[in-house]
Amino acid sequence: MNAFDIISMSLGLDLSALFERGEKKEKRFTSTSSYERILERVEEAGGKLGYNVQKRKGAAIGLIKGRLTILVHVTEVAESLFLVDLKTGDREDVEAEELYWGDLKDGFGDIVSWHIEGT
Amino acid sequence: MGCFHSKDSKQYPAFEDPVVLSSQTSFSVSEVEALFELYKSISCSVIDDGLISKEEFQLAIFKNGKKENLFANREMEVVLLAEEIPYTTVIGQIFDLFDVKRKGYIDFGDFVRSLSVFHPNASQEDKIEFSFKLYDMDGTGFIERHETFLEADTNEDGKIDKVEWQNYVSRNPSLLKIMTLPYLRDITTTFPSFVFNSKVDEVAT
Repeated sequence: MNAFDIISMSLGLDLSALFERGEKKEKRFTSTSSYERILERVEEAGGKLGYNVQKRKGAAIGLIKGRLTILVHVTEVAESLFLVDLKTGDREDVEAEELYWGDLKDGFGDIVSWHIEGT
Repeated sequence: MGCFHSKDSKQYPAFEDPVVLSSQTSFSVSEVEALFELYKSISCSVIDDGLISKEEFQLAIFKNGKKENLFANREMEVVLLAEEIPYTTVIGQIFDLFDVKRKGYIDFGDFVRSLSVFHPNASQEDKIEFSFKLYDMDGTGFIERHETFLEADTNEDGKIDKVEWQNYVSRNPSLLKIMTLPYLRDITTTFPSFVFNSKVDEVAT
């Protein structure tokens, strides 16, 4: 595989990603805080809300409370701009989801610079 | 998906008449209207100014987490690094190709006209032109540094110019495969909400 193949694949993936209608219920927000501060605040908020906080490899934090598992993933999308993704585990309960997001968002406070609604 | 659109279409700074855009591109008027739905959600994601910034473009690409899959394959990352192409440069390159006049943002006209090149009905010439610019990472007007394509370098000057590229692509048409996105034909079904904002009565194509 050479650079041409990768650039081609990237173009294809990038453009198809533009068109995807995410069916999944995910919550995401952008942050202009530092990477360390984001992780710190997520752990802090999770802890305060009674979640079992588990640090995962590769900029991810697991928040577990009873049957609810939330994977929080931080990606750098541009210089000083991070995308924080929250994905719930299999047992999706729409009501619980709305509850958890509200509390977490309050807990995250000012690291949230823009909230993007999932579909 | 996306933000609350309080603005009427006409109030968007970048709004161009779908009928005009349709006449300039491979899209029908309905398809242009459907693209406007997509455009609106991308352009409001960081700053709600009706224009797509580089950040918003990257966000739209990253939002489904597919980039993680790309870099899950270490080989790809290694090859990009070996060629001294940071991944952000590839995304930047795509952004720059859409931002034809290098304004620093993509407006609705740019968005539609650039995507039109990827339509199955777009001309080969447009696709060849776009692909040439895509691989010309340094923007020098030549494709350089990539040994694999040196068989295209018929005059052996160490770089591939536009004519050499056209000849090479004519002999290897599979190279243009990435320049066609078949799902662009289904855009009105992917973004059906355009019908609520449609100003045009049109027979379905």
